[in-house]
Amino acid sequence: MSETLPAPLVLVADDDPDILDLVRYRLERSGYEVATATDGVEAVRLAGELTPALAVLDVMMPSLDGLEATRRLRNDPATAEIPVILLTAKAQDADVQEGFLAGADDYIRKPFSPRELSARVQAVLGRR
Amino acid sequence: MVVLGTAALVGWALQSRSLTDLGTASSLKANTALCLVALGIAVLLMGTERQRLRTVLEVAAAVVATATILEHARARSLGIDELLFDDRFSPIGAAGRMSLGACIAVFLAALGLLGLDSLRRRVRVVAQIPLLGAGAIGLVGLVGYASGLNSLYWQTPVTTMSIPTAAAILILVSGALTLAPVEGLSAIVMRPSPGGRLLRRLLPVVVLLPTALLIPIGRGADAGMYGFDVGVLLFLIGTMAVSLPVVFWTARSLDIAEARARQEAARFSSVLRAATEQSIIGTDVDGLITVFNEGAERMLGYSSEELVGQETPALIHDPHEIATRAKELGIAPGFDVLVAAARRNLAETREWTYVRKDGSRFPVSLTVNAMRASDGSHEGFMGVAFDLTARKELERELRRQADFTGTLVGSAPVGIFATDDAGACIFVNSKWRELTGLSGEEAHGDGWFRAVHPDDLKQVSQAWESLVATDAPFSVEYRFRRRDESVVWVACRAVALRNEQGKAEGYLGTVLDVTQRRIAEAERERLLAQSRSVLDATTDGILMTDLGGEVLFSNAAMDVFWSDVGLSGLGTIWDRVDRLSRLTTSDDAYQRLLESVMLDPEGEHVGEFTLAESGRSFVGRTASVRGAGGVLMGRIFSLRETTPERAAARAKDEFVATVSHELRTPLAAITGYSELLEDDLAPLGGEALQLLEVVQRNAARLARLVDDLLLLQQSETAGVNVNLADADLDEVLRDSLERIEPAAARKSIAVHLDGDEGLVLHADVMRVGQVLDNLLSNAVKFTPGSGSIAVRVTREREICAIEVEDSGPGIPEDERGRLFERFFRSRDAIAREIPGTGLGLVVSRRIAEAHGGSLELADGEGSGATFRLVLPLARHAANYPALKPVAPHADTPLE
Repeated sequence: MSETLPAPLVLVADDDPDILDLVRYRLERSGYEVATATDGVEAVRLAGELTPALAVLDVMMPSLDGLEATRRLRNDPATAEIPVILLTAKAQDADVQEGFLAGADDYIRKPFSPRELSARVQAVLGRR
Repeated sequence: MVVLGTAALVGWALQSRSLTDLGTASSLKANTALCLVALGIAVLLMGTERQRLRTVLEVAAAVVATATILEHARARSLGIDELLFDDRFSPIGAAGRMSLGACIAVFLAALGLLGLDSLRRRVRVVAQIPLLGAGAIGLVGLVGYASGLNSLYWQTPVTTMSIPTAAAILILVSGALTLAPVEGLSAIVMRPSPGGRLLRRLLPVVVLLPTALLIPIGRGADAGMYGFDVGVLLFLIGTMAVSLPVVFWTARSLDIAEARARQEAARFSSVLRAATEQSIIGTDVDGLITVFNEGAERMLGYSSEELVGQETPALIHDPHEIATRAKELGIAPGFDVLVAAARRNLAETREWTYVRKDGSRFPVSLTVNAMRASDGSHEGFMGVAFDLTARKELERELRRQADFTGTLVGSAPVGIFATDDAGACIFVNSKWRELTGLSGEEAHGDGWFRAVHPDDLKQVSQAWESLVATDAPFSVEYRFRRRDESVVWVACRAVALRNEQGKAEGYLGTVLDVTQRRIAEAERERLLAQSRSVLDATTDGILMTDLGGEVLFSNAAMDVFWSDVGLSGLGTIWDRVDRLSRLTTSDDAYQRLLESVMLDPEGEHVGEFTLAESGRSFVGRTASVRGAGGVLMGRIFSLRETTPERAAARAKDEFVATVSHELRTPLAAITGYSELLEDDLAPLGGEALQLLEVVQRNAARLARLVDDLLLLQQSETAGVNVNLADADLDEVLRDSLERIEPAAARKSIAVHLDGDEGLVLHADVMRVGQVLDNLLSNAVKFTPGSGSIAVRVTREREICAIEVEDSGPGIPEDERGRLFERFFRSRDAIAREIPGTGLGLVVSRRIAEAHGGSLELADGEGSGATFRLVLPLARHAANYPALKPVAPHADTPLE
């Protein structure tokens, strides 16, 4: 990670503030800039405004869930290129499939290891 | 004559010449008078019962006459001549002796009279000859006296007799012949036949005429008026002159009579010939056949020539009938039986059986009459017979028909009744009486209405009235109620009996017992209604069609369904399904159903669909229906709404998702922050780090527990989802063994792996790893310190078996059955406070089964337990049928 380059901005959205803080804390430690949202609508709005390098979205959120938010991002040319990692407490494989269908790049189940999350974010960004 | 003789006897007694001579020149001798009196009395007694007296008198006269003849012949007196009286008057001959002529005449007369008494016909006929002889002697004597030709009474000894004697003899003979006229000469004279008539006409001419002529001619000659030769000539001429006209007249009348007879005969024979249809048989008095007409020939097969004059009609009669009839009449069998009535002048008509020449028989009606001549004399019998065969046949046929009808009506298993033209009952048969319990008399007129059940009376009487009034067909089913209150259902039909003019003369009806059918119908209705109500009470829709898909039956639930989807009253089931499929979320449902039914018309087909508009879901089934004898009848369609189940399943899914989210999110916070803490504490080391590890371990355990619970729940609603792929078993095993290594090391437990290597599974690596972790973790938990665990891999054809054996205490017999129950914990585990949830084995088995494999306790006996996991191998996986997802477990839902 170089001093000269600005840290990549990661958008994190979760309705649970503890999880939101956990993810934000871990990613900031790993050197990312983090913007947070507490629901899907806000997440989509921020994504449009900030154009983050990546978005970590919780699936189960009020007003607009992570899947729908992912779809909206993909449908908007301005945000269509933003990679999305879905974070979900849903365990079933069908849910995973649905997530990928919606356009997610990765899928992390709760409970998760913050180290693993960080590694995956790095992996997705590195792929780009 | 008796008077004459008696007078002479009295004269002799008084010696009175005037009385003995009776005014003639000759005297009647005493013996002669006696004989004449005896014979006279005998003649008077003729026809009476005094047979013996007659015979005595006749014999006495004959004896006297014979004795006197002997005196004449021997010329000497036997002393009988003057036995009674002295003869002082006789100028000639012996005193008091009967003249020879008188003797002979008396003798002949006595002889004749005796003969007439004979029992033999021939003797009676011959007896008339001596009588005639006596008469001739008397006649000659009288003629001699009358004509003066004394030689006739005087000079010929034979004819010598007195005038009274001659007259008396003549009277005696003619009297005897008149009184006994039935046979012989007199009978001939008396006959009504032409011969009799001829005799009656010619006899006076032959007998009286010469006598009458002889007297005047004789007297003339005696008086000397002419000579004897002239007298003879006169006699000849006179006789011829008188007799010739009589002979011609007689001949002519005979001609006329014969012509008349011939005409009659011709008429008779033409009648006989004309009567070809009747047998006419004539007989004489004795029964000999005299007439046998053509009709008789034809009827009987005999020719006239065969029978006439030879046989009696008894020949052509049935001898048995003759014998029977003879017994009735009390006479001997034979011809007389046939003419018994006719003999009494009664015409009789009877039925007899004739026997043909060929022996065959036929019935006849025979009328027998006596035939009489014009003068009433009995000539014979005439029998006229009609062949009754045809009539008998007809009678038999009519009787047979009557019997047939009677038997039919009487024995028919249906009630039969007949009414007059007004509809009043006049006849009922026995079955009708049996059905109604009424007698024939009770049924008469309107009586039969009494048997009709009161509830049906109005219907029956209306129908009956309209039959009688307007000839409306009468066909009614109603009940009879008997006196004992028993009820019988009948089907009654009635029709008018019409005469040739088409007018109803009466009505004929039949009454059929349909009680059994009615009972069966009622039972069927009841069963149908019962089935119907059962079917209507079920919440599933049920519908049946014929082979063409026409709806035969549809229960209430099905009707409600069609009405809900707006397809009520549509045509065939296929039309309905077609229309229905357009209302569902999958528009090719109809096509798929049709195809599968066509592919397997007799199989059962199940399909699930959801109505697009209401979101209601249904499971439909259809199967073929076979009737009696296995004949394909149609299809049955059933429909069950699954909307509530769907909703429940959805609710459960949502619940699981929510629980999962609500549990995992805090877990994620715990584990996540623990990890952050760990990162911060790790460089420092110390006790806090160890404490944090306890937190992390328990958080991980809790996370696993949540996973197990959710997996279990998932397996029960939708089955465990496995992502199958080829997987290296060695690698899966190695990963699991690595994960268990720290726990095993802590208890100094050795873990051995042996068996086949290099096997490739077709499995979900994650899930299989989870199962192996479970088994190894259990083995470590239950194996005492310094024990050992053996893992063996065995390839068995298309599968592989992985056995995990520990050296623990094993599993008690009574706990083995419950080992795979949810939340089951063994007594040993509880007693030793070994941690566990009782879900591991259950979830592991579900996972194994989701792979088409199995998980069992292979050996729990003695030292240690052995669990055997069976999984499919990759090379055969494609053909392994159990690999398809198995049905969800429904036995233990997780609420």
